[in-house]
Amino acid sequence: MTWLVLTLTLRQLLGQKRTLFLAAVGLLPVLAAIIFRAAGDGDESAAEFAAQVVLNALVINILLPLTALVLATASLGSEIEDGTIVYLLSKPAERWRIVAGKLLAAWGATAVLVLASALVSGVVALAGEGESRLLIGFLVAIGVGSLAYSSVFVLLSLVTSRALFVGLAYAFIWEAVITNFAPGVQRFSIREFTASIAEAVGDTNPWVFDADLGTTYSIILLAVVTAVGAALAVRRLSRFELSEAP
Amino acid sequence: MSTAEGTAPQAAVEVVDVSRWYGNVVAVNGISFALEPGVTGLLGPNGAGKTTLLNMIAGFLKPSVGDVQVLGESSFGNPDIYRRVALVPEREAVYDFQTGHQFVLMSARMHGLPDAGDAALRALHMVEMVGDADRATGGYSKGMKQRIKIAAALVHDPEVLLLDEPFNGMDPRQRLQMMELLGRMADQGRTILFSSHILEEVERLGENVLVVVAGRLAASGDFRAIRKLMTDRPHTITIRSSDNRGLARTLMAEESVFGVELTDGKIVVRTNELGAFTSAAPRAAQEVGASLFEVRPEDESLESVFDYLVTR
Repeated sequence: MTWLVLTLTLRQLLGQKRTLFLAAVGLLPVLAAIIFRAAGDGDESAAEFAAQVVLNALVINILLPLTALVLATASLGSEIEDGTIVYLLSKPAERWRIVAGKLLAAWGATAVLVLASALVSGVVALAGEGESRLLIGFLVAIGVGSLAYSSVFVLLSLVTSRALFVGLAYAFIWEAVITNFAPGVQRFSIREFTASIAEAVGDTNPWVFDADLGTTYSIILLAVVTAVGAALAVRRLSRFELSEAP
Repeated sequence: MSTAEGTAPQAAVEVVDVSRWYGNVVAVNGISFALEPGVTGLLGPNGAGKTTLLNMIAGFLKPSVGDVQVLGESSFGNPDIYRRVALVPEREAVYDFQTGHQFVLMSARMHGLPDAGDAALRALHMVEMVGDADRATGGYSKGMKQRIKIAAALVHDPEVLLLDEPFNGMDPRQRLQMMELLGRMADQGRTILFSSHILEEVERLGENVLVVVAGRLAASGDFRAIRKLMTDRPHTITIRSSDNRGLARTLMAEESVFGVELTDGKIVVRTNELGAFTSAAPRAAQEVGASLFEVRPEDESLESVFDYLVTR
């Protein structure tokens, strides 16, 4: 069942306009890297620019949550909206298998899109600088962070029909704005967890890239967020009611 | 308790005092019935609660109060019942990018059938969709979508089949074929419940009928008995003629008439027996030498028929 749901969902995502839109957004970091290279020597080093602007500010802060949100809601939320979810629910399969298929598809599609963007823009920005360790750190972080985001957003699309709206508010108001004003709040932000993985795996110099949270804490929180999100999604789907307000 | 297993008579579907509300809107209100193998029609106007009822039986809605048992098990939160139960939803959407064959085959595989390919082909044959099975469902007509949805629901040979407005969008020939198919499946001992807001569809197919109006079970039982109830209800008929007063006087003497009102330019007649009245009216007109310009039954909409059944 999981495999069937996974392949069905990937096929659903592939044929959608929003996936094309995300691919276009994914070109922005690449564009930024190209402009940086073309502009020649500035005050910043290539490593600083790649880490802080391209990979952190553009990829992790914008592209990653946006892609995860749009694909997670497209993979489950749109089935609920269209009513096709009934074709999955009317099967004698444990509900975790359905959630697993949906989550793996959303995660896989998100990771492929965001990793491709990070890899290309990173290589362009860092060309000839010998900073491959830094890039690997970000790629690993994106792989892990996208799973946590997907898990949360798949759950969200089961809880509310306005998952896209709520998810945007979470990613771009809570994580992007409020964490800046109230530093304690950073401890509850998937983007900060992701950044700290990038720092740890990339073994970056503090002046090149410095995350705010501890590595162990971030790893634990990412695991907890992913597991709790998935578990709640399974629970929610097991008690799922076809909405059909009279 | 020494009852041997299997000897106790067990209804395939048992609905006991079931209500369901959304917020403060009551969609289904204290409905009870039991279904045996055979075809049963669930008749009622749009918004009567038919879909809510079917979704509760199929395990996709939890009753607010009451109990639903399907094949002896509670259906909500119990995916195992889908080995023996199937629902064909009213909503049209299928996966547009799949061909009909892919859609039905996926259903067979999701059921974990050992011979999914054969099961899919068999189901496609049943609904006569083999010829169009390799086209994308996105290009299907409404009737074709209905049939492919039914095929997907039939792959695992369910004992209980629930269909929500299955004849929507079908042309008369397809309707007839589908009715024959459902009839055959019922003859094999299956329990089939289908909903419809069209009297004639139910008449053709359902020996047993449940009439639901405004969330309540208004009538249930043999279709002919219910049909008679519907025809024998009071009817109001408007008549215009060349001599309204004379005609009204004569009509008043008719056995089938229990009320006559003479208002501006027309007669409003109330009758209990429509059949008797329709032969009495021309006779009365002839008697008084009046020409009939218009004889028009008022309010013959299905909704008013249903309303009558409820308030009766």
